[in-house]
Amino acid sequence: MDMYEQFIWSAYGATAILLVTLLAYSLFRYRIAQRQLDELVKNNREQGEKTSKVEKNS
Amino acid sequence: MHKFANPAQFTKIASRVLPWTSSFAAVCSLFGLYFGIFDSPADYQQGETVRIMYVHVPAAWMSLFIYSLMAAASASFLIWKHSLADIAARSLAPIGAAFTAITLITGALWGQPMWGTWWVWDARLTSVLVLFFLYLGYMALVNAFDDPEKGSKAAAGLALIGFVNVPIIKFSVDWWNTLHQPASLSRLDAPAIDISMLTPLLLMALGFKLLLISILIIKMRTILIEKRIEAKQLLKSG
Repeated sequence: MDMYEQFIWSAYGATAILLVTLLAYSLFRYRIAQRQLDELVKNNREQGEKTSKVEKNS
Repeated sequence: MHKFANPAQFTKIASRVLPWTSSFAAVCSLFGLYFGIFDSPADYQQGETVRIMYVHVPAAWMSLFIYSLMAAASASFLIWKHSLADIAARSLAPIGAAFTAITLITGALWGQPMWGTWWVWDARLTSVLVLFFLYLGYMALVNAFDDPEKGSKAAAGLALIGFVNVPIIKFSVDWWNTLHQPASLSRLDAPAIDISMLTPLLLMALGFKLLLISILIIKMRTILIEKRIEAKQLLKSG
């Protein structure tokens, strides 16, 4: 490499930072959404079980 | 085509495709980086700075390719009202903006040692900057309305109008006298570039394309899940 090394590494570094950030952020949002959906499904199921128990008892 | 445009079918295909695209994206990019940084020769005029080409040029291709996909998805949404097309366009915008930002940043880093300036207001650079603003405008517009349908329609309109900029970017170096060099790879059978430089360039382009598919799948699946959550919450409350 020559005197322009800093420009080359800056270009590769900027590319890596932007793409890794984009990928990580997308994965992070996916995980959060998936967790929220799982919790919602779990709560709905628990509530459904409670309601059916109350109906049976009455 | 319409058969695959339903969320259940998409999720099924996407889960099978994602591990392959992400693995091959990593492999292609690693080989591309190795050949680009260590194996390819320096240019007789530009010296070592030519290595910036292996990220700058594929990123520039991607920025145009993604915008074209976004415009096609927007057209599909406006014509056939496919919600999946709208989700695809929404997911493509930030990825396209990132690749355009990479194009502008690496271009400036290449321009300084070669032209002696970070930036010039020539046709190619200016039209790519306009493309970047179009991506940002799309992202702002799609979320600017309380009614998501309205936002999607307005943003789809912007994406279609903005598509005029794509051929302008492509042919700007032929139509106007620019500081930016003309295309070196307009035809694959007779490229004005040696095979030792063409190999890392194409490997990086393939790596970026596979990365695009991977991120697109993740983003589209996220929006689909968010829509399901919204529907479940609405059902629960009302």
